[in-house]
This record gives sequence, C-alpha cells and structure tokens, in this order.
Amino acid sequence: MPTDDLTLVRRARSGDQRAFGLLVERYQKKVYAVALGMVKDAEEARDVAQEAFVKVHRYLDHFKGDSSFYTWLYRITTNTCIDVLRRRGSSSAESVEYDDSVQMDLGEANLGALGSQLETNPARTALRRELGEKLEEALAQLPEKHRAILLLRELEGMSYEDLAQTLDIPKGTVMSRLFHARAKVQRLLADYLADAPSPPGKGKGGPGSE
Amino acid sequence: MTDSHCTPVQQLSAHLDGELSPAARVALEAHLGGCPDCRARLAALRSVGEALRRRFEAQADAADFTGFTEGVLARLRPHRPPLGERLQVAFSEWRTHRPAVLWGGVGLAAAAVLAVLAVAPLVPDVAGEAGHPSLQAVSTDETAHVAPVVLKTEGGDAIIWLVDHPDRPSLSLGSDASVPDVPPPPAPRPKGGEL
Repeated sequence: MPTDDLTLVRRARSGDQRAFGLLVERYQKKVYAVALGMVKDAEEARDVAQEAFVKVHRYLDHFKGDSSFYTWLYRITTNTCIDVLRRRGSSSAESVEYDDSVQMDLGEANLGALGSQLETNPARTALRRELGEKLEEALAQLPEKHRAILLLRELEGMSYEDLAQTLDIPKGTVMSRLFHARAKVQRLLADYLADAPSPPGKGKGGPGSE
Repeated sequence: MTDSHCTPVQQLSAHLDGELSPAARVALEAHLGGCPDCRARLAALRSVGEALRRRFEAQADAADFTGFTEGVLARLRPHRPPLGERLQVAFSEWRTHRPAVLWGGVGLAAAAVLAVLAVAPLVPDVAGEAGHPSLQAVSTDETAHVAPVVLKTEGGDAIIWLVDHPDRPSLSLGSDASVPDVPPPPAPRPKGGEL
C-alpha cells in the first residue's frame, strides 16, 4: 500500500485509524521540535503537538488537498502554539513587519565576529552550550510570528514557497519577515556577546577582537 | 541602509535560504570570494540557524515518543460500537452474571439510571408470566439511542428498555427482550464545529 501523505490522509478520512496513526508517527518529532521552540516547556510542547494532531483529525474533512498536507499540518501547529502563548499572556504587542530602512549596523558589527569566534575560540564547546541557552532566551523575546517563521525555516528547512502557504502570507513578506527575525536574534545575541566574559588565560575572545 | 557594508543583509538572508535568482546568486558568490566582511556576516547568519537546529532537534531526538500516538487517539471522539452490538453484549452479560443492576457497559448517562429507579416501583409484577426471558432476536433502530438497564425486581427478572431521545423522552417496558413497538424518531446527529 502506498504510504504517501495524501493516501494516508484519504484513508484516515474514511475512518482508518491506523493510517492516521502512521501520519502522526511520520511527523510527531518535527511537530514537537517546532512546538518546543515556540512554547519552550517540554511538557507543554508535547501537549501542544498532540493537540495539533487532534485538530488535524478533527478537520480532516476540511482539508481540501489543494495545499500539501505538510504545510497544512504546520499551519495548524503554528496556530495552536500561538493560541497557547496568547493564553499564557506572553504574546508581544510589537509590530511584526518593519520597513526596509531599519538600521541594522550596530548589531551586525558586534555579531560580525560571531561566526569566526565560534570556530576559533578554544572554549567553543562551553560557548556553544551557553549560546544555545541564550538563543532560547532570544527566541522567547521574539514576537510569535517571527519565532514561528524562523523555526519553520531553520528546523524544517521550509522553502519560501511553503512558508508562504503555511503562514498564508505573500512570498515577499516571507523574505522580509525572516530577515527581520534573524536580525533581531542577532541583535539580542550581540548584547549577550558584548557582556560575555573572555575565556580565562587566552588572548582571544570578546567581540570585535581580531 | 548604511554603506559601510557592501551587501544588504536581506540579500545575505535570502542567499542563505537558497532563494536568490541564479543571476543574483552568481554575483553574490563572486563578491563573497573577495569580501571577508560579507563572508563573516553570512557566517553569523548561518550560525543562528545551526544553533537553533542543535538546540531543538537534539531535544526532539532525545524525547520519548512512547504513547504519543495513543495519546492523540485517546483524545479523539471515542468510538461507539453499533447499537445492535451494544445490546447483544448487554444481554449476554445479563445472562451470564445476573447482576442486580447492569450499567456502564453501554454507556449510560446518570439521568437514564435515575429514570429507571424512579420507574421501577411503578411496575407491577411485569415478569410474572415468564420465568426467564430469552432473547429471540434483536432488531434495532440504528438511529435511536437506547440504553438498556436490567434490574432485578422482587417478583422476578425484568428488562426495562430506556429510550433516550432529547425531545420526547419515553419509557417502554417489556417482559421480554424485544425492542419496543414504536421506536422514537431518530435523534438528530450532532454537527461538527466550524474550522
């Protein structure tokens, strides 16, 4: 039996629970990863991920098949995460779209060395772990829509085309929203890097050096 | 945008995602070959994505998905076996166990049970004419919602069928196990919610 998404969806729609279970197993880890990035707490992410699949099942009849199941699933996942965040009261009122004249230079200058710093710094393992934590904090400060698009692009590798479909926005908006999300994360990390102590005993370390 | 950087960061971002046109990509790659500043900025953008993947994909890989699918299925609307099946199960349980009260197996609502308890005292010697009712056949109206309850009365066994209809609650009593003569109109099926 062919097990591509559409076949499984068709079978699930006609009541085949095993087919639906296969769909869940196929996507559970990825949906969970995105949910984890969105809501941060592991227990809640698992709950949200399950809830997303419940909604998928509930609305299977509404799925028209004119978009891919994949983008439809992630649309439901993203919206479920955003609902949870709003109920929590942690949604940001910050406007999502900026115009192109926003100045990026200061943050970028500090971050210019980030890439090479990670490569050359002898303490890079510890730095990487700390960076991961700081990254989570930075992510939590993004408006949900920026967080979502960044996670879908970086964790899922979603094309701009699929992002446009998933988030129901034009492709041009995908491009600018993504770039602004990245730039904001960089700005937040730049602040962290500016405060980070240099590793002991080494000449290198600290932004802007070398 | 200032002019201290040659490549706008939007372009670097799009390049990172492989979304530049072929011509723009070739031009940018040529530029990157000779520009350490832009290379460093691209590397910085890339490192954000790499850190995100390391962070969340590792956690997802380490997570235990045992019971995840089952958990999803459990949250779906519970599956009800067809009515005929439920009645046969209920009757065979009665035959086997002769419990004083048989409930739960067919999904009784508390209201239905209370109605039975209220009705039972009103029923005179219903089962007097037959010793033990035997099940001849079960014919069902698939659209009706029927919750049978078996009570052991003082005079003997009695099977009371409750027909649960939202608009016209009706009770019919029988000394044998046949379905009441006049089945009620089918209960309207609930509609699903809007997306």
